[in-house]
Amino acid sequence: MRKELWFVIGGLVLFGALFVAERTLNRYILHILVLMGIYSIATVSLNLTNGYTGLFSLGHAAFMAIGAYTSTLLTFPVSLREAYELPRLPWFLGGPDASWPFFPALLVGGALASCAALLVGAPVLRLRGHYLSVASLGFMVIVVTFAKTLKNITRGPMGISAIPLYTNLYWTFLWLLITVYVVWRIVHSRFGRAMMAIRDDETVAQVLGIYPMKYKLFSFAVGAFFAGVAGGLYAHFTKAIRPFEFSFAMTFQIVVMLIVGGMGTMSGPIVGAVLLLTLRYALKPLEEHLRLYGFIELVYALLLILVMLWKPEGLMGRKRTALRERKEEKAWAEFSIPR
Amino acid sequence: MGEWILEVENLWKHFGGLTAVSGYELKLPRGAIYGLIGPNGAGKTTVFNLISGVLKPSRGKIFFKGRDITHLRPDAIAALGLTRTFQNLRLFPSLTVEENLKVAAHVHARCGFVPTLFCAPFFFREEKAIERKVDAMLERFGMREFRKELATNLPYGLQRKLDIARALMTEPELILLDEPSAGMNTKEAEDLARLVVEMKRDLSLTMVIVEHRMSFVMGLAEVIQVLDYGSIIAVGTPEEIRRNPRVIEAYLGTGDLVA
Repeated sequence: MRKELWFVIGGLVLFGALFVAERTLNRYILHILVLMGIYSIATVSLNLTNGYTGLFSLGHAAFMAIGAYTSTLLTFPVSLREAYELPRLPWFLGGPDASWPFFPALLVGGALASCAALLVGAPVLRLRGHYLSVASLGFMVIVVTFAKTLKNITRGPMGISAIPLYTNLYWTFLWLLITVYVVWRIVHSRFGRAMMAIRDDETVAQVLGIYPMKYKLFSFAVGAFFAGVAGGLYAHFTKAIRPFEFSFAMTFQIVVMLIVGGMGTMSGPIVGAVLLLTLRYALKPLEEHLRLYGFIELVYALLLILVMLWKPEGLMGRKRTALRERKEEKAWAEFSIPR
Repeated sequence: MGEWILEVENLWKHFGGLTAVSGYELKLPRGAIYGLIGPNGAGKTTVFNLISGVLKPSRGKIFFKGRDITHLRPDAIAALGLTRTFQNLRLFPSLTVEENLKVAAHVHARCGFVPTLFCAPFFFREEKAIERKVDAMLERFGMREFRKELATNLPYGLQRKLDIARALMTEPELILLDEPSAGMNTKEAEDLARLVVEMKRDLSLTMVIVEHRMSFVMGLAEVIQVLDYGSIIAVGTPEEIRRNPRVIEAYLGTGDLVA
């Protein structure tokens, strides 16, 4: 019970700090803080599939896209729809003369991303390892293509602009808090234990009574929900979305954040997101000064390689102890089994 | 459902052109310990894989407690009360001893996602119950001090024991032990044999044991089946098996191994 209490206290402290930050810091820094929050949500939710369940999905940006487009289409002001060639809402969504408030629109965005995850997951999650990664990447390409070609819904490649600015510091960190809370509850329950068991050895988990597909779909859908929410927050923060934003660059950025921070840890994804965005905005002046665009991506790549070489479990990862011993024991075991 | 807890009828398994199991039969009385021996590649582990549902048989039927389980998934079979251990130690390496055991309590956990999310009292009651079960199991296997240790950091003999403890956490009625004493020294194997007898007595278990260590299985099993090239070549009490010429021949005349 005490841990739950700490969570509440931590939340209150966080919001106190946000209040102070909003009063004292300049707008540029606040802008970066919100982005850190949004990317943290995306990375924490990706951690559920990639870190805890061991499903290395590369389709996270697709779920963000679904959430971003859904919530945008729901909240877009009625008066501007004509000018932006966006359709009005159908009657069952409260249309034609209404647009949704922010919070329910985010929820619907997340829920739709979850539904997509269930639909895609049913076939794709049967694959293992690299095959799953490639298939989820394919899903991302499909979603981006849909966003590009469904012109009378999404306005195609030119994207949607003039999205109302709803996302602020408080919304973002409230959602981050919810995401971390949910993931934390899942990890410390039978659900999380089942997921980690599947990651370590699927066959054994199944022989012990765990149906892997159920928990794979579960983690995929929950992860997608928060990715959808992160997408919605992102859309209502940058005020403009285009299909190609939710593509390879974004997926890989989130994946790198997760790997650098540490997969399968509670703090790792947030550390990764904060660290990489700090690096990005610290190096941005240098990049512009040198006119070496893409310099930041090079730094990301270098960082990824360094982490993989020296701390493959990620910055916050628990060190897998006694690997050397394990090898010795295995050799000994093989030796002592009579042939 | 009769007195048989497990009935296997005319079980076949082909891998492409290779016949791994041909016409395997078993009628297992409740509360018995049966042994399954045979040279390497005789199909012992394949039989276990078929019974526990990891592999699907090419032909034949398997009944557990009178129920046809031939086409059930392994997790459904585990929920009915049939589980197994693995020959090549397959503990969850990134989990601690305690977590390894808790994973296996999953079959009997009822707390859904929503109560878990909102920390309902039900959730804590269930976690406490699982905690107590883990305590009891660690006590029985004498592994209390290793509770928070990563499973892979345990000494080899304890890893073997943990594997069995984990299977027991699912509260099985029938447990298939795949070479439980592999890689143990003589003393560890003797300890394990004692533990197996205790378990059987206290938990009213039925067991099938695949073994290479003859002294281990000869001392424990009431009836032993001998497999060679996927088919049963002999069935009988340990004493009968020891003297059976076909068995000695299958082991290529290494009669001293069967001593």
